[in-house]
Amino acid sequence: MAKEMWENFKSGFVKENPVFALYLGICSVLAITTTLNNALGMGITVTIVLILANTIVSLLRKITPNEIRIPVYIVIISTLVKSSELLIKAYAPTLDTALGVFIPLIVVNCIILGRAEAYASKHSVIESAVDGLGKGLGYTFGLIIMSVIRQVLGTGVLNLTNPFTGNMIFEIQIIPADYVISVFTQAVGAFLTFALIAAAVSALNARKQTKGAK
Amino acid sequence: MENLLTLAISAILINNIVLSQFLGICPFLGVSRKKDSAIGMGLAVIFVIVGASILSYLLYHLVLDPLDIEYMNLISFILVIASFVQFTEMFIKKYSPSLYKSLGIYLPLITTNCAVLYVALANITSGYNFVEMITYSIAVPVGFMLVLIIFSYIRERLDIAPVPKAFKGNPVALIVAALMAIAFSGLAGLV
Amino acid sequence: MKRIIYLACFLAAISAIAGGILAFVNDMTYERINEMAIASEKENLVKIYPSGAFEEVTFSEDSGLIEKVFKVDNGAYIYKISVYGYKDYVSYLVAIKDDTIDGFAVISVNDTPGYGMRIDEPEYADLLKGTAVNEDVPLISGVTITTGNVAKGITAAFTLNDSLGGN
Repeated sequence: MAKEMWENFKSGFVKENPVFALYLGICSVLAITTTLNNALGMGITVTIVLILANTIVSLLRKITPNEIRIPVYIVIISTLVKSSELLIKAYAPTLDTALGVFIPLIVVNCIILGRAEAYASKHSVIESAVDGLGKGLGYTFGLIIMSVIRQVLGTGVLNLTNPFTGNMIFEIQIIPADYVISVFTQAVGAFLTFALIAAAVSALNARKQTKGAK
Repeated sequence: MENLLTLAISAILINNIVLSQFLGICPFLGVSRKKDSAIGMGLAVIFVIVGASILSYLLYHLVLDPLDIEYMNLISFILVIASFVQFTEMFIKKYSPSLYKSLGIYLPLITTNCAVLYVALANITSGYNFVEMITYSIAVPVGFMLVLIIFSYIRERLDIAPVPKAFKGNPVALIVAALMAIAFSGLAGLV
Repeated sequence: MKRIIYLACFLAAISAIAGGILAFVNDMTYERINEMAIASEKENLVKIYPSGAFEEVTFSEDSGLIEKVFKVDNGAYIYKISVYGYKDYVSYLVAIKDDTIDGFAVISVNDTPGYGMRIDEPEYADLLKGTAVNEDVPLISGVTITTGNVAKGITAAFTLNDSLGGN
């Protein structure tokens, strides 16, 4: 059982990466990956919500009536998301301004509802929690890659600030300001970066499959 | 009146929900392969967004706000949306079984279409009155349908074009989306 | 039939628990969120009157450009206005006292450096100060789109100022 859990956990990163392989939850990926801060903020929030949602759904799986399971999952997930929104508004307001409407939109992030339905409703609490952690971290990982590329190419600077205190943790100028391709901070850049990473992941998975078949 | 027209044009073209706000991408990538399902999906989304928006708007202004429980907005809106989609599904199943079949799983998935919840929330946070709310709720999914249809035409051709293996399917679709995004951003000075 | 009642009760119970949890979190965070909102407003208001006391007032007007109105203890009114400049929204405060512009401060602007961004410079605020209600609000040549829209907002503020009985 432990081996299965580990395999499931690992799969969240490349093979079944929610963003680049399963194409779930991509609305936020495109919209907020303009800075590393946003990516980490969103990624960690989604991971925490995912772990909690998976855990609660799994805890209640034996008593949840099958016919209303989707509305029940929806109520659980929206309570978690709304609570996160309120807590972020109160304790990390810069993150709230940066992510804006995308925090409440986590409710319709297909990853969370999808995992609740496909996994948590059929596995034990520990397995579900680990699954949540794996997919959540894979999602965060995807967000980080997107945002690093977009931020470095688009603004030349890479920085990180503590959302609770507003203090800058680090800031490095990687590309001089005159050479930045600002398109990356806008819509076009978002789609392009995503397309290229998705293609790379697809090629990587295809190669792994043929290697595995050999 | 002029204000409503500006609102509508900016929602359809300038701040297009898919190409500018990045919402509604999941069904966008999934359904846009064939022109007929694109039109069907577009109409279904217009119906759902208008209906769900009106219901959530009324719910907010008649129940949540007066009772001071605005924090219940997220749960109640999404439940309203889920129920309305369920209702729409039954409606389509009865009156157009072929459409029901072609939309398949994507019909219940309209519930998780970020655009629907977004419009419901935006109507409140932007402080629209009833007429503005209706205008916005119709304009946004019209913009969605517009892009979906254009996209389906392009994708039908793309599916038979010699695309490199790694890009086949969604990656090349995203590149097309990138080009469309540039095209639409050129409309920015319109209003 | 019994099954449907059971389902409805189950869903109602879950929703009630959810509502309870949310009410709890809401109470916990409510004050803090409000405090933050007031603090961030104040941060901008003191740019014009560093030692003033401010009070938000309710209002209604037609242009849709004025977001908030604050009454200052020295008799002035500050209007928080948002207009669309050359390429993005411009958010600013204009203080009107004795039917004249008494202060101007930009909250956020995202415009072309050397053009629209010039409204963030002290020279522009000085240019605006002293403009009376019946005079045209000065523009910066070459930056007429942004400053023109800023002027529109200020004109709307003058109109509102009149009806608020401000001076």
